[in-house]
Amino acid sequence: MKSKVIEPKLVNEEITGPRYWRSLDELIENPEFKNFIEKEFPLGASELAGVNRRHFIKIMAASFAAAGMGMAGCRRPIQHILPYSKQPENVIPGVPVYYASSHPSAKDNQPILVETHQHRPSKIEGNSKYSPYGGTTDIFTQASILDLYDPDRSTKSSKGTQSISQGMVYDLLQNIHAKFLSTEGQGLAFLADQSTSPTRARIVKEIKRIFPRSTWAEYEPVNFDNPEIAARRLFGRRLRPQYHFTKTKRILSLDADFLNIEPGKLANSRDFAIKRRVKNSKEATKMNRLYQVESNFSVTGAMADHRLRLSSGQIPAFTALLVIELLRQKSIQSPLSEELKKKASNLDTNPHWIQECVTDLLAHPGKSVVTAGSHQPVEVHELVYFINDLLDANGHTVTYLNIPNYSASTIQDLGVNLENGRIETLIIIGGNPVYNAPHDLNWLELQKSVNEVIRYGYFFDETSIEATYHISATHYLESWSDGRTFDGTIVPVQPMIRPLFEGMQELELLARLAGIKKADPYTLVKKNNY
Amino acid sequence: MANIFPKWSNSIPKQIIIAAALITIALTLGATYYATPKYLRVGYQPIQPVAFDHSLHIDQLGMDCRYCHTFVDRSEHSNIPDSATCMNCHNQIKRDSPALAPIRESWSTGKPVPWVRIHKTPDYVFFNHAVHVNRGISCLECHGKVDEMEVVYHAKSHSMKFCLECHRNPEAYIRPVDKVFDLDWMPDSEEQQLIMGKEMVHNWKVNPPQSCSGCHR
Repeated sequence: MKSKVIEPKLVNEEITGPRYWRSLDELIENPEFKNFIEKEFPLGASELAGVNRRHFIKIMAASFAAAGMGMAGCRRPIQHILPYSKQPENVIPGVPVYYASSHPSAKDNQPILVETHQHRPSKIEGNSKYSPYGGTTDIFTQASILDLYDPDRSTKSSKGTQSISQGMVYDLLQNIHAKFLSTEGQGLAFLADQSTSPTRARIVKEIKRIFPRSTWAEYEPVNFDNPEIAARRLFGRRLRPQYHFTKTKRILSLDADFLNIEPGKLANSRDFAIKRRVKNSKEATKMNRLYQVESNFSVTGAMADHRLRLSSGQIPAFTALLVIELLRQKSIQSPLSEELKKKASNLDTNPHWIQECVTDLLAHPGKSVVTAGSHQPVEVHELVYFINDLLDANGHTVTYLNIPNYSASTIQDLGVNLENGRIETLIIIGGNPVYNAPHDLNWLELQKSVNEVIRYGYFFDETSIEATYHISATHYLESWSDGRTFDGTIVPVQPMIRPLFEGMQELELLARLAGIKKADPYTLVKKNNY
Repeated sequence: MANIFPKWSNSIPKQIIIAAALITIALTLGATYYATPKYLRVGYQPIQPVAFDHSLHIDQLGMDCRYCHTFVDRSEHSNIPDSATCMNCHNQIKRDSPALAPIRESWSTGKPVPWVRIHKTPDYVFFNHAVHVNRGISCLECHGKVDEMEVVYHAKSHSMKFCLECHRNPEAYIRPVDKVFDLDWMPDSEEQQLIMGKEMVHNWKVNPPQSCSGCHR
C-alpha cells in the first residue's frame, strides 16, 4: 500500500471557501457599487472607438488564419544535442552497460543482470551465469525496476510533517545508540523484514550483543517458514528441503504451487520441464508424472497428470490418510496408523485415488517425492518428511540445506512486549505492519502506545503516518548488500546508480544503531571476506 | 412540364469531374514536392553555439571523423564530442578566441554545449551507425561532403525512399572499409564500382533488410 491520504473533517467555512473581496466598496456591500457591477461592463467598454467589438474579433480571427497560411507553426521544433562536458571513461552513448546484482527477498535473492543506459537502470533480467535459474527471474524481480522510478516513493526523511536532513537522521540514530547502551537495550525493540543477507545477520548479532535486553523481531505477511520450523521440531536444526526434479519420476504435491509461488520455483520449473521434454513416444516412459492435490487451480495444477480438488483445510487429514495407506502397502505395523485414523475420520475423499497414487510412488523408490505448500501447518510438513523417508526420497530426490542458526522473535512475541508497556522505542525496518500485521494483534493501537516509533521505509505509508520519525530508504539498485539464493549460494547486491533522493541504506542504518564506526555499507559487506 | 434545370447545367457533371481530377493532380504533385524531406529538410542550416568549421578541421588540418565522433563505429549513436575533446587542442591553440567561449565555459562549469540537432530520424526508425560504417557505407552517403562544409547543413533527404534506394542495391554504394572515413575517395568508374561492390556484398554477406521490421521495430 502506498501513502494513505487522511481527509480531515471540513468545517463550514472550508466547504464554502474563504470570502475574497477586491475593493472596500465590495466588502461593505455599497449599493452604488452593486449597481455599478450589475451593468456587466463599465461605460464604453463594449464599444471601442471607431470599430465595434464584433468587427474587431472578426478581423483578429482572419489575421490568425492568415498567420497560419505561412505555416510558421509547422516548423520542426529546434532540438538540442547535449554531449558530456567531460566524457566519463567506459561510457559509450547508445551502448548499454550491464551490472550483476541480485534482487533481495525473504528466502531467495535472485541473481540478476541490470541493463543501464548512461548509468540509468532500465531493464532487469536473470543472470545466466547462475545455472539453477538459467537467467530467469520472477515477476516481482522484473517489476522491481519500476519501484526505482516510482513517483510515490519517499524522497525525504521526516518527523511528523516536517522533513529532516540526513544529518539530523544521523544524530537521531546516534542518540538512540547512546541512550540504550547504558540500559543494555531495555525498552528497545526492532521489527524488520526477513532477509537473506549474511552481512545484515552479522550486524544484527552485534546489536543483540550490545543490547542483550532488546527485542529483535522479524515479520513477513506471506512467509515460507513452515517447512523449516517443522524440520527444527523434528531434527533440532533449521533445515530447508531442496527438491531435485531432474531426478524425480513421480511427484505428489499437497497444495504446493512449487512451479509458481514456492521459493526455488525458478529452479523447480526448469528441472520439472526437463523431465517433461521427450522426442518421441519411445521416450515417454522417461517422463515424470505429477499428482496434485490442491484447492486453487494453480499453475502447477495445470501441469498435473492427476489432479484432486481438496480444500486447503482438508490437506492435513489427506496427508494422514496418505501415511496410513503407505504404511499399509509397505506392511509396516505402527501405532501411528491408529492415531492418524482418528485425525482423518471426517475426510470424505476417493480412497481409490490415494491407493493408486501411493502404489505409483512406491513403485519408484528413490525416484519419487512428496512436497507440501509452505502455508500448510507444521504437522503436515512433519508428516511429509516421514513420507519422503518411507519413499526413500531423502537424500535422493530431496536434500536438506542447513540454515545458519539465527533467531528472531515473531511479531506476536513483540506484540506481548508492546502490550505490557515495556517498550519505549520501536524501530520498524521495512514492512508495513499497520497495513498487513495479523488483525488479532490490533497493531495500530500497539504502535500508538509506544513513546517513540522510528520507521525506516521506502514509501511514506500507513505505518509511517503513525510513526514519530520516518527515515527514507534507498532502492536496492542504489545500495550495497549481499544475500543468498534459495540453495544458499552467496550473491552480491551492488548499486548501479547514486541514490536518486536523500535516503539511507539498510545496512548503514543498522550499523549506526549498533554503533559501528565504519558504517559505510560497502566496507561492511567487504568485511565478510568472500 | 417546363424544364427544372436550365440547359447549361448539362455540362456541370463533366466540369466537376475535370475539376476534381485537376485538383487531385495538383494536390499529389504539390505534396510530393513540398511535403517531402527533399523540400522540407534539405538545406536546413541552423546557427550553432560555436561556429565549428568542418572544412577547416578536416580538409585543411586532415583530422579524421572519428577523432571527435569517437563511437560511430561502436554504437548505434554517433556521438557529438564532449567539450574536453575540443580543449585537447584549444587549450593551446586560439586559447582566448571569443568564438570558443561557450566551449571554455562548458569545460570549466561541466554544463553541456547546446548544439543544435540537424539530422534526426523519427522515433519510429531505428538506425545503427556502427553497422553501416563497419560494412563499408561511408559517412558521405547520408551526410554529404561534410568535410567541405563551413557550416553543416542537411545535405541528403533521409526519406524512406532514400534509405531503400541503397538497401535495394548496396553494391552501388558500398566501398572498402578503410575508405569509409575518406570522403574524397572515388571509385575509378561506375562499372568498376559495381564489380567491386558486388564482390564486397557477397564476401561480407551484406544483406540489408527491406522488410518493414528491419527499421521500424
